[in-house]
Amino acid sequence: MIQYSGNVNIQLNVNREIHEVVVMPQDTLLRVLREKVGYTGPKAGCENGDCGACTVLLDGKPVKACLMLAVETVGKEILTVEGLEDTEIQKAFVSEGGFQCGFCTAGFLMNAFALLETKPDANEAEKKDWLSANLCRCTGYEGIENALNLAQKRVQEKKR
Amino acid sequence: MIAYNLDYFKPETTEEAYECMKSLKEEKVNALYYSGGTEVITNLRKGAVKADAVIDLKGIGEMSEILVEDQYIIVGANVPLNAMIEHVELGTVMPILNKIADHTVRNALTIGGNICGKLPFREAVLPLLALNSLVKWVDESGVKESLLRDVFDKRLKLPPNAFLYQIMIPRKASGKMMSKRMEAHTEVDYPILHVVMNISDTEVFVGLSGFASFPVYQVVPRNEYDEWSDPVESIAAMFEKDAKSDERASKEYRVHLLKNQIALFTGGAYDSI
Repeated sequence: MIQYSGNVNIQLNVNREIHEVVVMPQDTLLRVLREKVGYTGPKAGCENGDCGACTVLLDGKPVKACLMLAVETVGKEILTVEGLEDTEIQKAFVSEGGFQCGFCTAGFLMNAFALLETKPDANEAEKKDWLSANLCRCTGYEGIENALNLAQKRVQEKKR
Repeated sequence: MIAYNLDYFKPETTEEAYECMKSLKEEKVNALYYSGGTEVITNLRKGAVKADAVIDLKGIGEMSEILVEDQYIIVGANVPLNAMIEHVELGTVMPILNKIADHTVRNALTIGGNICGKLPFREAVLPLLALNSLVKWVDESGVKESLLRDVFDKRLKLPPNAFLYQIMIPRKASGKMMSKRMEAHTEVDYPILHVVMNISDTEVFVGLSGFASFPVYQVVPRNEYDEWSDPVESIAAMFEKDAKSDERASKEYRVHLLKNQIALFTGGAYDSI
C-alpha cells in the first residue's frame, strides 16, 4: 500500500520530462505544477472545478488540475500548455484572435487540443460538449470557436 | 489549496482498503474514502468537510474496469462517468450521465463518487435505480451484494467503514427510459429538476434529482399505473411533499416542471394555467 504523510518526494512526468518535487499529500496538482514544477500555464481561477482555467491533460484526457491531488498523478503523463508548442490549435488561436485577456486561454487550448487528438472529426455538438467545460470571462467565445474550427480543418487536411 | 495536513493511503486490495479505514477509525483518525476526488477536494478546500486522511480506492484494479457478462454489465465504482458514457453497452444510461457536471470533470468524476457523495443531486443513481441494478460493497466479511433499491434511501446506506465496490447493470433493460434535465441558467449547472422515467411491462419508475434535498424515486406496479385516470397528478402527488424551495427555484415551480414533463413523457394532459 502506498502511504504519504508530511513532506514526500515524488516524481511527476510533466511535458515528457521527469520532475522530482517535494510535496505534501494535500497539495493539488495545480499548485504543484505552478509552485513546485514551475509551469504557470495552468491558471488558478475558481479552484472549484468550474472555470476550466487549470485544465491539463492526464494520460491524454483533459482534467481540472485544481480537483486532483498531485500524489494521485505519480506514474501518469501530464501535459500542460507549455507542452503544446507548434501545434495547430496554438497557431489557430493566434491567427483567429482566440483570446482577449488570456487568463482562460491555456485551459481552452488544452481542452481543444485533446478534442482534436481524440476526435478530429468532432461535430458541433461534441465541440460544444467538450468546450462548455471552460469559461471565458471576456466572453471571447467567437474567436475561440473560430480557432477551433480552423485548427480542426488543418488537422483533418493533414490526415488526408 | 487545502489548508491543513492530510495523510494519503492507496491500498491495492479491497481487504487492505477496509482494514486501513477500520484501523484509522480505531485510532480516531477522521478518514474518507476517495475516488475521483472532485467533490472531496472541493469540500476539503472550502472547509465544508474535515478529514485527516483519505484512502484512495483507485489502486484496486477491478474497481476501475467495466466488464460485460451474460446478464450484467459490471461497472467498478472508480470508473469515470465519461468511460461509462463512451461504453457501447451503456447506451441506456448515457443520455442521463452526459448531463452531469461538464465533460472535463466527467473524466475524473466517478460513478461511485457521484452516488456516495454529499451533494444533494447524485444524479447518476437515477438510471441505475430505474434499471433495478445490483450493487456490491465491501465490509468486514468481504464482498456483499444487494439490489440498489434495497440500500438506497435518500443516500446509499452501507454499514460503517464499508465502501461501494461495483455496480451490476442488467444488460437486457426492459422498458422505455426517458429523461429530462432542467437548469436555472446554463446547461453546466446543478439541476432544478432532473427527471428519469422508465415504463416497462411490469412497473413504472420515476426518479428525481434537484427536486428535493436528496434523490427521490417511486416505483409503481404497471397494472396500478394503468388504472390511474390522471397519471400526471398521481405522480406529482407522490413527490410533492419532498419538493424544496431554494435560490434556484421555488417548490411550486419545481412541481410545475415535474407535472409538465410527466405530461410530455406520457402524452397526458397538464394545463398549468
